[in-house]
Amino acid sequence: MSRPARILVVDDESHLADGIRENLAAEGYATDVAYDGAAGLAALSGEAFDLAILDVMMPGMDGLELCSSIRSAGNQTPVLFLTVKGAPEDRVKGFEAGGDDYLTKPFHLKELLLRVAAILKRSRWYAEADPNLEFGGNRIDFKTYKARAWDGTEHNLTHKEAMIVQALAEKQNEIVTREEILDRVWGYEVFPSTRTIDNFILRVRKRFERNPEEPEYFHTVRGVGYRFTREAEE
Amino acid sequence: MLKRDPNRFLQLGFLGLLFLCVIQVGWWIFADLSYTRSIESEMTALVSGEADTETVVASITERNEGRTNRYLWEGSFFLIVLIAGMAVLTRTLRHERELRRRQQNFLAAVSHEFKSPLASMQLAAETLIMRSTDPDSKRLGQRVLEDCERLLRMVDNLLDTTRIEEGRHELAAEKTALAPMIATCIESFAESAARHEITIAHQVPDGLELTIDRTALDTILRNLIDNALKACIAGDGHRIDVAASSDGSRVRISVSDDGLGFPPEEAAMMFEKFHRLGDEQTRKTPGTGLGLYIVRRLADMCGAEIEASSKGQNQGATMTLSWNTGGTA
Repeated sequence: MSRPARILVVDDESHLADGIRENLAAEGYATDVAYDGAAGLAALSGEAFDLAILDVMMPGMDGLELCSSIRSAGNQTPVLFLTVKGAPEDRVKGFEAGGDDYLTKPFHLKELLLRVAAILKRSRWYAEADPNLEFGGNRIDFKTYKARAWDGTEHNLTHKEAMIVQALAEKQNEIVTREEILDRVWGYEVFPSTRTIDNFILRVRKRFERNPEEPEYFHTVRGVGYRFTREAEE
Repeated sequence: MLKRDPNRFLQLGFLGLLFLCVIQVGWWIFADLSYTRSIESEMTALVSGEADTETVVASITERNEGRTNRYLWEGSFFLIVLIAGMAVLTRTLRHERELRRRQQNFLAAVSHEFKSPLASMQLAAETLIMRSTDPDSKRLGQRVLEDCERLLRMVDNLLDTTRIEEGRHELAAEKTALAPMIATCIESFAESAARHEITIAHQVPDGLELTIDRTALDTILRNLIDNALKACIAGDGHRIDVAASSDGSRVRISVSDDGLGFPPEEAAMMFEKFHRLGDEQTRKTPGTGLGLYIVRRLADMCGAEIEASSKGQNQGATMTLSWNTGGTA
């Protein structure tokens, strides 16, 4: 039998943190709790977790800082942010800090559990997929998020960029709709908009295409989605 | 004892000085008119030979000295009042900016301080509902959950109103499929509707799209459905219909209920801020009177027209939003 997924909850609201821990434990997850950012950082630096649930607004080190800090140390533990701030710009900040998902407080328990399950499923899919991708002189390592582009430049991909490239590479030569990408990379939630995916693709093209204006590998299929080819195509 | 605002004293003092200035300007106009008239009569006397040149020149010189002194002293007073006015105005503007900043911080704090305990209460209530085997615990959990949701909607409405009125509600329009959006909104009211034996039906053609800010549309729909739900509970209604349609040039979304309704003459006031039906003491529906106001403001910002109609009390109501799409929908 496989070991239960290990989840860290970091929230200075002790009632909420304990409530989440009890529910995750009831679902069979092994759950730890930290009541501030520093304790969360210490836990994430010292032990391996399958998911970290981070509150954004905490005294001292906030959730965004904590996430950026572990990401810059190379820790790719999936992160679900919990926050009272639900505006699109706040969500964007969360994703920029390296978060994988975003849930606005107050949330419904069922939704939290669904999202936790979805993130864990996605990271399992990601972990089981081919760890490397080579095309047109580019090489991407999906385990370390490091990439070497055709011009010799080194890139550190964000978690989302790596997942999008992997979702496209997995179905190379086939059209992948924006909705499929949303489902695969973000889960079932409505946010982000399909325009966010377009922005991610632009960033990927800038890294790996010789001429991002005329892509040879990451093709747009107008009104539908994207298609990745390992061989260059006009 | 409350400390008095020093700005208020400054502003009152400045108002007093301005009052003096007004009297002074009046006096200057009167004095200048008298001066012109006296010069005119002296010139007439000079021409007619009733006065000699020396006397006239001496008289004019004397009065000019008086005028110069007046300009010097009273002009200085004007100048001081103007400078004082600029100082008071600058101070007031700075004070107002500081107040606005504090208000924004306060709203951010309110948002956090209200929503965090609400999140904890909601989680505790849902844990009871989901995991308790005791029917009483489930029932009490359900009751707490309903009140949490009500409180949350009120906090959201207050925050939305403030954001809209401060012009901080930014919109980003994008193509939005209406069917899944409306279905998601209805889904979030499904449990509450089922508890009160209310059916929420929807009729939205597949593929119908609208270019709109999704968050704004979501807020509009939620407020309209919430309003219809309250009207059904209060007016013993059992059905809510959400429909969307397009005739090529206009997209319409309507939310109808068979609940409380309202007198047709009140239709125009339904979207006024704090407008609520009936008397506060005898009112059957909960709320703050902000929901439909937010709907109207967001609809305006999204280029939609909104209309409320009802045949009368206890005969249900329909809220209709329509967008001119110029044939692109």
